[in-house]
Amino acid sequence: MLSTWTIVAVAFAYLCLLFAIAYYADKRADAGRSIIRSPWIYTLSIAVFCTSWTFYGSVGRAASGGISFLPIYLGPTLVFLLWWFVIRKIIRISKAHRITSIADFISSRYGKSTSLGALVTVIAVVGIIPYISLQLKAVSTSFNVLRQYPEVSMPLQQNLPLLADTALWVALIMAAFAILFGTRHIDAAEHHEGMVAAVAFESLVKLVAFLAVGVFVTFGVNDGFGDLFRRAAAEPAIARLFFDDAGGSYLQWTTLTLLSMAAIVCLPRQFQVTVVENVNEQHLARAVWLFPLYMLVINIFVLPIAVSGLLHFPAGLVHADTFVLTIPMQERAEGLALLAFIGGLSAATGMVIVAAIALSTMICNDLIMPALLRLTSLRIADREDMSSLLIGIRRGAIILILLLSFAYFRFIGQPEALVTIGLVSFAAAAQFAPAIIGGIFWKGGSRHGALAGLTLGFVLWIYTLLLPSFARPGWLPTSFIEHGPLGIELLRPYALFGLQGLDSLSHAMFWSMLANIGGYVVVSLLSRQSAIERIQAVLFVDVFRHSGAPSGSHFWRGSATVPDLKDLLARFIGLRRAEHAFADYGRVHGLNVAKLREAEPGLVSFTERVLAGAIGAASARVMVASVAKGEVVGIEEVMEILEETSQVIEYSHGLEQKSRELEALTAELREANARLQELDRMKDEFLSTVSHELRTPLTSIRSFSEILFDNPELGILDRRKFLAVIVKESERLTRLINQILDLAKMEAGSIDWEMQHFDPRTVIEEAIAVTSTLFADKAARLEVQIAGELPTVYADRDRLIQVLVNLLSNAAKFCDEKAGHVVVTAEVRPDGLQIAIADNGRGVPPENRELIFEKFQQASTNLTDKPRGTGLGLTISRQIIEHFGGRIWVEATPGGGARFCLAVPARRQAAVPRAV
Amino acid sequence: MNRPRRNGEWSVVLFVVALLAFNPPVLSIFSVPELIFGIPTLYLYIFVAWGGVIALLALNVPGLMAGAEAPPPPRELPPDEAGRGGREER
Repeated sequence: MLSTWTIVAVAFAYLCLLFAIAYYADKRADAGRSIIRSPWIYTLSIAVFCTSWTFYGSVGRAASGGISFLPIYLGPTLVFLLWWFVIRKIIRISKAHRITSIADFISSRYGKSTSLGALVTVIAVVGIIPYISLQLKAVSTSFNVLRQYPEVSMPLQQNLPLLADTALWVALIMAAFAILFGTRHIDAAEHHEGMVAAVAFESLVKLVAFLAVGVFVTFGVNDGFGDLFRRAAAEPAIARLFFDDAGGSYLQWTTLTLLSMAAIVCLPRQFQVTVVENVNEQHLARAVWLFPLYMLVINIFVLPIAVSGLLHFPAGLVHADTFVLTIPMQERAEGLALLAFIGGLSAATGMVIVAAIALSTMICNDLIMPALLRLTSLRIADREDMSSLLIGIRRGAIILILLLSFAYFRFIGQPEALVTIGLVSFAAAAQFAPAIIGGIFWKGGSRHGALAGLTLGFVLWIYTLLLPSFARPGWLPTSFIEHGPLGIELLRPYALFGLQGLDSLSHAMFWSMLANIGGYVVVSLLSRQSAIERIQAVLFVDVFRHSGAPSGSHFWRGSATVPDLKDLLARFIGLRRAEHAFADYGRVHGLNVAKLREAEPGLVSFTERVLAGAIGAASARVMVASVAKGEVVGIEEVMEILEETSQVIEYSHGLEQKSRELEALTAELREANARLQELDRMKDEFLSTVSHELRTPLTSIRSFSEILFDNPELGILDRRKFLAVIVKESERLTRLINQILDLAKMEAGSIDWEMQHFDPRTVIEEAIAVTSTLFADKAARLEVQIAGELPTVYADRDRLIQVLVNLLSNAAKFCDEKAGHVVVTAEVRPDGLQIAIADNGRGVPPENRELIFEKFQQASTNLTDKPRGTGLGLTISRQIIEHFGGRIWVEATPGGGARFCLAVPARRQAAVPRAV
Repeated sequence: MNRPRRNGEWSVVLFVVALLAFNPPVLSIFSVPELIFGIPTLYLYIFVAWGGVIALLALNVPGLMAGAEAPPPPRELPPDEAGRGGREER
């Protein structure tokens, strides 16, 4: 049984668990063993985007507008597709400048302007209050619905006394938690690890709870998607939801998409978790697709729950915003109903805590501190301990924000649907988009432009969206909406300047964005930027170029003493941490800061940046200026410094490139050298082989000559025999020398080729005629098979004959001793002419088939075999054929003999008809 | 080495494709009364297209990261140490 006290006890226990998680994460962070340094936790913390708007409101929206609840999640997906250009850049900038909030970001970009920071803060607070009130409404409504269990009905809309209003207690409890989570200490880096851990846990809980309800409704209450949708399709009133125009016009769809695209970047709490709390840029790379996946998963069951609720409850009895809770209640699933309530509570508290912390930081750093510092009569800057003041301001701001939200809920937001309230806030946050996107991509955007754009956009937002909502509780006459102020029809807030036919949201977005972007661009173009504005503009837009460069305020000229700076820092972040920070600086820069008296400019800007982490850029600037007597150096000098830095960076890039090129060159040289050495070795080898080859015939000529000389009485027959040997060896020597010369000429490329087109048939026949005596001597049979049509070849005729003669004489030499048989074939192949000469000798073993084309390598390396050639013939043949663009190789015949083949590419000409 | 640049271009292409896919008039193509696997066509289309876009986005990420220069190491005062060193409980 779900009694009120059970619900309260469970909810309270859950909040305590959250706090325990936060406390543990903070402790771990203090000990240096962070538990949030994971892309998963980071993704879940970004999922704070899904609030009770998603948890309860989406179903309500789907019940009346079909898929029109989806653009709110498709828009962020679109933005994350461009994360590389937008979100990554914002994070990089924020890390470089220690940005603490969206107000800090905008004020910092436009010259650390305090007025701009204050304006952004005001817009954010006014704009987000409806959004927080939405969460209060969701929690109090769900609580009131659940505690009527087992009865399922809507709590009566009555004017409860203030103290009996559940929403007030919800607001106070949430304020207490936000204070506990977010303002326990002032942190130089502004990381709230405990808060992030708690929010990530809540994101998990709300996802599980919503999926549990979704599965229960789809498969428990109904019989799966098919059953549910088929029954829905039978009812025209529900089937209507399945079309794209169920939720209004196309224009509204596009408006919602654009709004949510702006919101995922510009909502203060999204900026807080995505940018400020990001501890590692690498996490973003995972989150960019995990977060859209999270949104996809949490939205799968929205339409099924909405449809099921419409089918199950009589029209109008139960508000669709509560279907997530009421369907399990109706089915008597107590545990699930409680889980759904906890899920909704998670979604709401996550949003409220992060938003309250982000807004309180902004109120403190960008609104109150600058004002207090200006009021010199308060002598606030002279206070000893500023950090307790800062914390006090933030706590007060949190309570104020939640009370304002409660007031909005109690007096204005009560009858509205959740999504409608939330969209008002989205429209306010979207006003920041031009200043942010313009600020990171356009150096020309100026402070005056941003001020003008934001002011105009904000005013029009108030006039077209916020003011009309005041008419409901009767604070403004309804005639204001219907007939315009003072009856001026042109100024009707829902049809400004006669623009009619749009839904109120699209209407408001059109006018406010027109004025905002127009004001920003036009005023930026008209105004002149101050020095600090231009510096900041360059540093923001070119953050990737200057990320190694000193950051902006490096350009202090003037003097400050180290003790002054340290005192200043200590007043805001405590003495211990100030000393620690200075010691760190000294270590990095090799200085003993404690001994320094005059602070160098780098230390001044360092102090400013650390201070900015605690109180925002604008206030930090004011504070540092109060102790550092001096001014920013002139714009030309600054630009020069920036240019120099980027030139140095470019120069070093250039150097790197050059050294890479040198390395490549060295490698090439080394390779060439190795090749040369190899060639040198080959040449030596060649020479020694050649001399050996030359010496053999010379030796035999010499010895036979000596025999003839020494023995004059030798018989005539013997003499003739010896002389024949001498003649033969001389011939061999001549041939060898000719071939060596040939080869040398070929390798040197100094040979004269007489390239011409000719019919290969005559060449083959000529070669056969030349060698026919060799075959006849050996009684070998020569068989010639020449195809009928042969293509013309382009080659040197005599050289081709030389090759063929060489191959034929080899064949004659190596064919079978007794029954020699040599086949010459010539045929046309697709790639040209192929001539093959096959013998029936012993063949060439496979391992030698490549080797025999090398110089002085003969097939038979047997010592007993007498060399039967010069060992250069095949080498020369290969050189010649390769010069013709063809190739030559040896293969085995079926009978085990050798077949030498050569292929010569054909000219693209008609085959020469057979010459008769 | 020009792959990372192309990954950047791909992410823009994917953005434009998704922008078209999730907005009218492409949506109206699927705004038909038929149920596919018992699910309204438009609803099914959006979720399938959404999942596809997310998958392509995930596929594109490693290429982008591979071509990127590492973020600059925290200089002067590393945020970790700053946040940790002398944190005071209040």
